[in-house]
Amino acid sequence: MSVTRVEVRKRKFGFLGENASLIALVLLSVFLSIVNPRFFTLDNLFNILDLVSPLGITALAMGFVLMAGSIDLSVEGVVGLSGIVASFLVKNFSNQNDFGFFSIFFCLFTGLGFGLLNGFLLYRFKIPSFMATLGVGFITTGVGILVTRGNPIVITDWSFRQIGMGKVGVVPVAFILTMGVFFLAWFLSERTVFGRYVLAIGGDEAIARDLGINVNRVKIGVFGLAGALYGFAGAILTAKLGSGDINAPIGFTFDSIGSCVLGGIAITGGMGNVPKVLIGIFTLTILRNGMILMGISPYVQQGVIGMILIATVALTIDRKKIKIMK
Amino acid sequence: MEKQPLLVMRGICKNFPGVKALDQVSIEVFPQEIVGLVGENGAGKSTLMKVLAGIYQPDSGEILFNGQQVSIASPRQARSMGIAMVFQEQAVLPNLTVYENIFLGNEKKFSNAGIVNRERMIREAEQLLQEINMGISPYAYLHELSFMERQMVEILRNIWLSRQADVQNPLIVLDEPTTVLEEKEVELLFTKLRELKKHISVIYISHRLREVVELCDRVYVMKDGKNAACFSRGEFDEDLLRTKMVGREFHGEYYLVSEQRQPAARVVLELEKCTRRGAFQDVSFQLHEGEIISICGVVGSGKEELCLALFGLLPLDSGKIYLDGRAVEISSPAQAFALGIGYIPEDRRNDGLVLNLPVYENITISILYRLSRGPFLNRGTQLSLSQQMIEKLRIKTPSALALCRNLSGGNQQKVVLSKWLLSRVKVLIMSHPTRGVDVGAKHEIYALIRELTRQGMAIILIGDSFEEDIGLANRIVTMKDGKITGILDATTSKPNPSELIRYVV
Repeated sequence: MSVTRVEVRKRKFGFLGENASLIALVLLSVFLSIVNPRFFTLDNLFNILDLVSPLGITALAMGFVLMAGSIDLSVEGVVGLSGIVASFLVKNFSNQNDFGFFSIFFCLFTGLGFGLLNGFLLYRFKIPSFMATLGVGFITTGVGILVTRGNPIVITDWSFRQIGMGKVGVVPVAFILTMGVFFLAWFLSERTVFGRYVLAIGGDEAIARDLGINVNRVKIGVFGLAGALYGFAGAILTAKLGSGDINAPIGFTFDSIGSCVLGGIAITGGMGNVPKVLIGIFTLTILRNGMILMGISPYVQQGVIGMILIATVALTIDRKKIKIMK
Repeated sequence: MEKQPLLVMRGICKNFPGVKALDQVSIEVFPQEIVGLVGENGAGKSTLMKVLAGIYQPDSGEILFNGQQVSIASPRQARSMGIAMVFQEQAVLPNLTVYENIFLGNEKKFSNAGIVNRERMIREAEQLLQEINMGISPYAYLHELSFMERQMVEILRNIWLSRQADVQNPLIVLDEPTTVLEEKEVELLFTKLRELKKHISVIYISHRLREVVELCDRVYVMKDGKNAACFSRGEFDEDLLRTKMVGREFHGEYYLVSEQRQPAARVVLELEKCTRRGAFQDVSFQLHEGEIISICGVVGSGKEELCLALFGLLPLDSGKIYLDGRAVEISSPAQAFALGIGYIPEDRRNDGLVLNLPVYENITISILYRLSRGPFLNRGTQLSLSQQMIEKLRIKTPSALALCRNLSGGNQQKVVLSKWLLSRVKVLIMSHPTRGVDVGAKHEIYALIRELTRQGMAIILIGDSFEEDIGLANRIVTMKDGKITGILDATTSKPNPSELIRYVV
């Protein structure tokens, strides 16, 4: 029986299967161009590029976590808190700080710290990642509300705001930064030992451990990396909005997971790569953008995206890897 | 000049609380040799191999590898010395490529400051694959390969690893490598292993004695944690091994042929031109009360799909099924069961048993409606019925309340069988009922199958080997490429396997 199963799987991952997400993205774009003339314009293209960050960076982080077979629900809290860290450190209305671009490092370290905490909880207390990261997400959100008393910290550092608002020619700076991060991440994933171990662990943790891979170290590394990326996303978000606000990244968790799923990253782990995250984030952004152009109510939009995600997972999930549905 | 043995294990003892698992066991393996290791479940084969692999430490005894006394502390250390185990549950990652799998965990040899030189890995993988003449691309993903090809990837990984440690002749332990392989693949595996003998020695563990006879240069038989016998090529055959393994004589009575009964004339189940596109076509046969029909065929012959269709797990495209002369449609397992058709799946751990429930719940799970009063269960009846079955079938369990997961494979299978004994189904479909079960327990399962037919139950069987099919069946239906190629009588005279194989390949 198992021999036949292998043959069935062979057929399942043909050329079409491997590139399904890219094909879907192209079809979606063609469809939107036809139904709405405003979609296929340069203005709208740059609008989309602008929307791709900072969400693209958190989606990328989520991609690594999912490939390793875990999940990270601390996105919103960590991004929000990092953004607040940035807003406190650059010129603002609340204190006398003026660290300028240097504050980005503090954001990175804040994110890295909470990411490592996620990984540590996972490894030290052997609790499922969704639980550990959910807790850390609440902690960071709580801290964010405490230090700001729930109010946005408005910043006045115009040069800092350029990383969110600025443009090189017509291309948004934030988009260039995001693409830079994607390129580095792609190299990390494809060409380094760490990158391959992430996939190995997502494929089968027990086997990876038997082959002498230090699973705990790689997992802590994955969550640390994800955290640092959230930190960077937080900085860009604050620069973009002009304030550090714990509520700003609400919806990021869902959209990050959603981008990965739409791009073709298996939520069961072990399958995926960085270009797929990029395809996913563009698909989600274009889907939103298209629905806005078509004048669809934002509430309906959420419902549509939710249904598309469920359908995507239902069509693609490898049920053999899920032993018990809970 | 006498060749020096590669491995010597001498006087190995290992005790577990209450059990003497290994008692003065000794084996030797020479370079470029395939050594068989056979014995019933619990004879100590796996314990011995776990000692060799460094998973267990022996209480006493010595191990010499390449003439030097060694102590093996961990599987990692064993691997680095050139001793590796290839288990039935494969240690390969389906989502990675061949070359990534071969070098997984050892990328440091190919990387600089954490950055992997992929081209060098691929080149080296290509060389290895060429060396053993495997037509696999290093870029192929493991999920695209057959089970046997994946085994080869695992073996290659171990050959490569031992070369890194300057071991020229590694020792590879293959634990039941052919259980899920089809005959053709087994042949291919054997060809490869014979070629590989130039580079490696193999300890080959298998329940399939025919394969051991065919492949092994020497064979060790273990029984009750001791050496029972050791034979060189030409000195042993299946019967001799079987005798040494169980310590008692097994004659033609192995399949209890004398207890075979003449089926009644009444037709219980009739299939008329049943077709499922891409699986089987125009399948027609009649099954009588108390009859056992074996369906023989290789993977892809449609036999598995046919059984699934009969139990409502796969829909038919066309054709009719008659039960007791009435045309029926079977579209779900619940419906099949209501009609009186039962199914014992191959993968009983997943499909046939609820492992986390106690024995008694499993035995009575399908007849709860008979044991309940309204919505309330009668636990007393459940327990007493189960107790009867436990005694009747000699299920080895501490009590009816023990969880099924704690039972051995053979005893789990008996629990499944007892469930169907109680259920009074008319037709029982069995897929590989003795897979992974040791010789002694197999025999008891055969006896139970005979008992079922005495009660008038009709059985459709997919056996684990031709011998099993022939031994148990009244008639044998052979299938090839989805079509029936022959219906052979096996009640009065038994056909032999070589005759049968002409119908299936």
